[in-house]
This record gives sequence, C-alpha cells and structure tokens, in this order.
Amino acid sequence: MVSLPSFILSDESKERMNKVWNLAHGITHYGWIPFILYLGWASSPNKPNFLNLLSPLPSV
Amino acid sequence: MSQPVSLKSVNVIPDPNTSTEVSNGFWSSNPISSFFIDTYKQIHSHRLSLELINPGTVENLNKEVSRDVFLSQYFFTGFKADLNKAFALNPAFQTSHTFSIGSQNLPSYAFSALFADDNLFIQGNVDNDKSLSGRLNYGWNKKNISKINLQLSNDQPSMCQLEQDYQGSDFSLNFKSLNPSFANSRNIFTGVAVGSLLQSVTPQLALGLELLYSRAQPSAPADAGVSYLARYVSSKKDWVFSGQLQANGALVASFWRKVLPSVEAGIETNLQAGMTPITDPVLGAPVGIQPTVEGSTTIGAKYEYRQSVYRGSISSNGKVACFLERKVLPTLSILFCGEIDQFKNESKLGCGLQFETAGNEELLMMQQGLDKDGNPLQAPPQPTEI
Amino acid sequence: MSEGLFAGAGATLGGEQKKIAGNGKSKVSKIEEFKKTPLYTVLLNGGLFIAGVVLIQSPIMDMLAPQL
Repeated sequence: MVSLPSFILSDESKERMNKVWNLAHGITHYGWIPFILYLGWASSPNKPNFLNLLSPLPSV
Repeated sequence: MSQPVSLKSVNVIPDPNTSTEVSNGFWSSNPISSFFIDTYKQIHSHRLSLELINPGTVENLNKEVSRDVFLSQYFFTGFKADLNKAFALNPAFQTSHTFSIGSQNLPSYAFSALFADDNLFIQGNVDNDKSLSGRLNYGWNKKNISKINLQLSNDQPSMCQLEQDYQGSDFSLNFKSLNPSFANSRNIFTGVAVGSLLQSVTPQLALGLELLYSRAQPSAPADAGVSYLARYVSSKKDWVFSGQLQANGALVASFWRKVLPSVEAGIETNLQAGMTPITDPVLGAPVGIQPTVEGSTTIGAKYEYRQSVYRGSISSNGKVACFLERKVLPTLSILFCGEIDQFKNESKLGCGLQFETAGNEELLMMQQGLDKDGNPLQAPPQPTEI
Repeated sequence: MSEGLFAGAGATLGGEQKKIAGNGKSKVSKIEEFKKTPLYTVLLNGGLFIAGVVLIQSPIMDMLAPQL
C-alpha cells in the first residue's frame, strides 16, 4: 500500500487547494481548444483570421 | 477516428549501453564491478545476437483486428455530416465540425481541432453540451512518449489519464494511471494504475504481463490483477495471432491476415468468465455461486481501394454489420453503415457525408488534385487521416 | 448349467437394453442441458475461432479477394 507522509491542513488551506483545483479544471476545460487553435494558427503559413479558423467553409 | 501518430524525433540520445565502453579505471579494475559489467555485456551481446525487434505497444496488441478490420470503432447511427478543414499539412493542423441527427450517442454538434508536428500531437473535441475530450501525446525522444487523455464535462465526473510509453529495442514498457489522486484524508492512492511489459522472446513471438491496481475510495479495499499477453507475428508479417488472458476473467484471442495488399481479414473470440449467484427458488435467498461463461466470435474483412473502404463482419451472437466509405469527389466522401441483430430482430443504420475543405489556396488546389499553378499532380495526395 | 448361463447373459443384455432405451429418451434433454454449461460456450467459440482461422488461411479467402 502506498502511504505518503500525511500533512495536516487547515480548513482554509484545504479550501484554497480546492479553489486552485477548480480553477485548473476550468482553465483546461475552456482553454484546451483555444490552445490548439493558437498552436495551429501560429504554425500555418498564412495566418488565417479568427472567422476563417472557426468557419467550416473554405476560406480562399 | 483516432489513430496513433508516429512521433519522429530529431534528437537522438546516445545509447546508454555504449557508455560502458568508456571504461572507468576504478570500475573496470574492481573485480566485483567488472564481473557485473562483463556479465551484463555478455547478456547484452547475446540479446543483440537474437535479432529481436520491438513488439509494439500493449495497446496495439490486437490493433490489426479490433481497430483496422472491425468496424465497431467507426460505427455510428443516424445521419451525420463532417466538415473537415485543413489549414496545413506539415505540421498538420485541421479543424472539423460535425453535425448529427437521430443518434443516441453522437452529440448534435461537435467541434474538433487537431495539431501535430514531429513530436507533439494534440487534439481536442468539444460538443454542444460543452463537454471536452482531449488527447495530448508528446515524444521526448524516439523511445519515450508521454500521453494525456482528458474527459471534462459539467455534469459528469471528469476523467484524466496519464500515460508513459517506453519502447526499448526488444520490449515495450507502459505505465498509465487513471484519475490518480492522493488528495484525501489519509493520503492514500485512489484511482487506477496499470503497468505493462511486452517482451520479444523470438523475432516472431512476444509475451507480456500487465499489472492492474485500482482503488475507488480510500475506505474501500483495493483491487489488483494480472493479465497475460501474447502476440505472434509470422515471419512474412502477413498474419498475426494475439491472445490475452485478462485479470477480470476474460480471454480474448484474435487472428489477422493480410490476404492481398488491399484485403485484410480477421477473427476475434471473446470469452468472459464470471460468477452468478444461485438463488433458492422458494426463498429467493442466495445459496451459492455458479460459474458462467459468455462468449462471442466475430469474423470480419476489410477491402481498401483508392476511392473506397468496405468493412463487413459477422458475429456469433447474430450481428451482421457493414461499413462502406466511398470518395465520390476529391472533396466529398459518403459513409454508410448498417447492423442487423438476427437474434433480437433489431437493426441500426447510419449515413454520413464528409466534406474536405481547405484554409488556404494551395491545399484547396491539392485536394482537387492540382498543384499551386493549376497543373495536375502526378500522384494523388494522401490526406493525413487522423 | 448352460441354461443358467444363457439366462444370466439374457438378464445382463436386458439390463443394457434398458439403459440404452433410457439414454435415448433423455438424449435431447441432455444436449439441451449440455448447451447450458460453460463448457459448451468455450467449445463452441473455440471451435468457431479455429474454423475461422482455417477459413482465413485457406485459399477460399484468396478467392474472396477480387482480382483487380
């Protein structure tokens, strides 16, 4: 059984950890797709504009 | 349609085995350490003389059958339309919009984006319920790949899987952990941890072990299990046999053969052993347990041509299914899939359209089979199918 | 003496005949019973797997592939 040295945390720090966790969760949830779009946008030769990036129609 | 992207790396690390050649005065003169070094070298040279190759990953143990030939990965119901838009090929960047009607499991709208270069592969998919599924693979070098799999949604528990792949010269190691957490009152591990090793024994045969440890709640007892794996690839690489005895009592055997470059056939048998409680017919109280075995066998074939891919399968539990994919225009494919359950008298049907568009002129011309100046290309371009 | 022998043989024969008759009656239900055991599932799927492998490896599969 894996048992790490336990830390005694106060209620405030527990709450803070929870908040940080929720924030990380939110950032990942809403930042994942924009992050991919940014990576792709930065690497593509003709930097497409925002509308072109999201529209399903050919943008030429 | 997620297929692993081969991650090529530019930087090659020096083989740690060659570093022993640089003999350190102390280590080589010391009788104890030199004994170990010599033994290691002997074993290593013997291992090299066996000419073993990397057996592939555990995840791909029966990939040829379950992911290439069988159509369950591709099956959908209802009507769907995919609008794929490619912005660049190298590094690959494309977005996709999927609309669907009349399906229980497909969301009515989903947007996905994909980016892949030599050592990074990142993909995300978000649907109209704002639930996100994401994958990230990063190749540190030729042998080490880290993977993250995410599933985040507002109303369901989120899922996160961390994975590390190591591909040695004649073995593959893999560690993965699903929802690992130490954040509980007793600081003990909760989640699922899996470690696996697949080792080539002869140039054709590879044997493996998979260890699984899981604990859902810190208060509940943990679960552990061992799975056994085997894979045999014929010397001409035209047929593959693989078998798995899983920790939960399932036995999976599969066989694959490449009949022609365009025709593949495969069969898979699944046996699931379990226990059902016997209840007293009068009182309804459990009086004992009885072993049960559920089994099914599926045979299928895949025909792949330049303009179309056909897959079909028949299963011993009465299911007959087919999946047809045909490119009618360079930028438009039509999909059809159907399944009939002969024993339950049920059927499923799916139709789909796939449009390929481009985010810049060069790609648009390429999709039409033309080069930059409007002249026909010599060979039709192979779209990066991911 | 010989009569006794025959009688004995007749008795055993009669017994065997009874057994066979009893078998014949329960033959169908025994098969039905066997079909419910786990061994039947294992044998059936094992047999199907082997038959499938033989089919895929046989020249029949090559004939199912169109010559283009």
